[in-house]
Amino acid sequence: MKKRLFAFLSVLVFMVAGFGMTALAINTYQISGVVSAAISTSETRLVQQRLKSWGYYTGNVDGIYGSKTRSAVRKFQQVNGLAVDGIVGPNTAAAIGFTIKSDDNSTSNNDLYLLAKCVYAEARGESYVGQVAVAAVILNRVESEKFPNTIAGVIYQPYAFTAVSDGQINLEPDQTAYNAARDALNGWDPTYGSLYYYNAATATSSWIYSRKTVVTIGNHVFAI
Amino acid sequence: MENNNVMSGNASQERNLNIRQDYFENRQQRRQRERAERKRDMKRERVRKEKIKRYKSAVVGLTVAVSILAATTLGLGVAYGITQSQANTYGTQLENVYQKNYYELVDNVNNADMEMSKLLNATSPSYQKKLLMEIADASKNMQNNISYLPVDGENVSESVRFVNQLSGYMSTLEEKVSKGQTLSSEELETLNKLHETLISMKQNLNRMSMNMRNGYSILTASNEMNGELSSFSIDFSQIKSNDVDYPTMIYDGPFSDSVVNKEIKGLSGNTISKEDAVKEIDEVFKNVSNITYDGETEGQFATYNYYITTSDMQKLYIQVTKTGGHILTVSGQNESDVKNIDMKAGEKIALAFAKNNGVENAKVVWSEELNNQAYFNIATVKDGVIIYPELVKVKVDMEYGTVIGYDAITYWTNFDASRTLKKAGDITIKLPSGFTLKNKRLVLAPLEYNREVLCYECEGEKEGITYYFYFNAQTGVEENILKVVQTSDSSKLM
Repeated sequence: MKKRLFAFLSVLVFMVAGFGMTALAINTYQISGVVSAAISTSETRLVQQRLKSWGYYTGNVDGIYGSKTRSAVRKFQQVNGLAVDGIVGPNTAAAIGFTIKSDDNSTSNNDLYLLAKCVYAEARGESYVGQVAVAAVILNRVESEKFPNTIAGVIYQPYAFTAVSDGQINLEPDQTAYNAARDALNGWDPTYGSLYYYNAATATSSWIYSRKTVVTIGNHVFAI
Repeated sequence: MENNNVMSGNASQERNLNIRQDYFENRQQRRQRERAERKRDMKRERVRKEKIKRYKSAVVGLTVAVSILAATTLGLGVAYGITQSQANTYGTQLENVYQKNYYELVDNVNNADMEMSKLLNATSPSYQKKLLMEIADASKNMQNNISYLPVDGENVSESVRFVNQLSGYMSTLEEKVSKGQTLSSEELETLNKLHETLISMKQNLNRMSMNMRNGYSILTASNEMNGELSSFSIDFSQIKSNDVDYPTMIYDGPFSDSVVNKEIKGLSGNTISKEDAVKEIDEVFKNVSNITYDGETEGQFATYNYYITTSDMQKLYIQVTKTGGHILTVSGQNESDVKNIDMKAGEKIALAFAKNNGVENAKVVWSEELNNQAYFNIATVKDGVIIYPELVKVKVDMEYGTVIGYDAITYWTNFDASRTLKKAGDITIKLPSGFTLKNKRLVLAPLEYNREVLCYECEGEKEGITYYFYFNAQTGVEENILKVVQTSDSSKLM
């Protein structure tokens, strides 16, 4: 009797905990990656270098403000009595030993960031060329009169990319996604102007099969 | 008698003893029995009490469990209620964004229709120019409104295409009118067709507006699936525009019809086999340790595709053209922190690679170093003029000094060995005040509407910022200006 009661209670506790965890997981999924650094790649590199030599940071000095860098900054802020937010603001920068450049002539490279995010969300399991190809399709759409005329417009067009609809777009991109996005922005296009791609194993729309196939790279079929 | 008595006295004694014994025995037995009974009673009582106790604890347990369940249900209920009300709030907000864009779309279509009717009857160039600009603005806004609505790509692309082409065509005509030219009868004919399309769009939107007044929710309709498509996608696709034939010269984007059907000038030679392609790769990359065939590319450029692994363990994707057997693209990346060569050495490697692939008489026109990868744009030079349309892009790994990226699509599309260049006219170039001229050279620049124009490319600097000015080498007209923009991690031309 007692055993049964215990089992029952455990199940209840797990259910409640599970519900809470799911809610929490959904929340972090939505939040993670949205907070980004207000500093440039070279400044990020400097931060990584210093925090590495002081033992806060263990990752690569790659100039990408990812989760490892963020948690290292958090640790640093905690130890040094700064506001713990994982963001390098003026105070944290001063404590690390540099001042944030407020250069009006510098343009923040949002296009590259957005493109890298979309590539990472849509194609992180693909080979390097597969990722360049996805980035190229996004840029081909920007050029095409059938689609919106900005990178943000194309990426956030309703139903255009599943990884945007389900929130994976907010994951922090890795170096490969950045490299692929940069190559595509420099005009590299292994798909020769393709406007569509689909996974032949999972695509459900019959319309997509009517498009003219250009090339298959990894799991994606690229088409015009 | 006495004896008898004695005897009888003895016997009675014995009997008494027996009786007493019996008595004692009985008493003992009774006591035992009583004790046993008491024990049994106590046991029974204990069992009864235990039962009660167990029963009580079960009741308590059950009560606790029921309370926890109730509390959890209540908690989940409250959480669900909050989530539901939040979802409702978000839903309402989303519906409002949809409705705003829908109604703005209707307004913009109505405005464009109105201005177009005026334009068809306007005679003064200045008023025509004003109307053309207004229609171009309205169609840009339409594009923006449509991009907010939850319609599946294939159902929206025709509408987006129509409004993008409308705005492009209006801008072209506006430029023409600005130069003092009049609209031709063909152009007026096209404008008439565009007007008809706008009117049909307007009528279809009006029909939808009637539904909206009867409580049509875009959000609800976008969540109702009707086969593969949502109800809203189906409803919206009714608004589809008619096809209008535009003069082909108005688009400069790579997907304008004229470019899609563009002839590939540079590729010539025999059609090669897969074995030849492998040989070509082996010749160019001398360090191939593994090669895997990965299908073909169809379309403009037909290629054989391969994955290779080099002896430096670099993984590269290579496309070789079937015609002529040229390496068309190489895709790969370097993620290492090690740097063994500088940009100067990288430049030599890039130029040698391009030459190896048939790009002769070329020089580096732009370079950049990023994450231990050296990027070079290489263009051919003819009679001292840089031919920008004949451009290849090369990426060199700065750890091993090998090529890990290559793109010769533009080059093979435009390469023309028999290209003749006009002579530069005798013109004087003057940069705006405050600019220092850093460099001047003759270039063939690809400009809008697929034009290739001989220009003076002048690098000017003002207050530390670099601009490139392009002056038509025959007329001296300023054709284009590019500004070097320092982004957070690199510089780029805009």
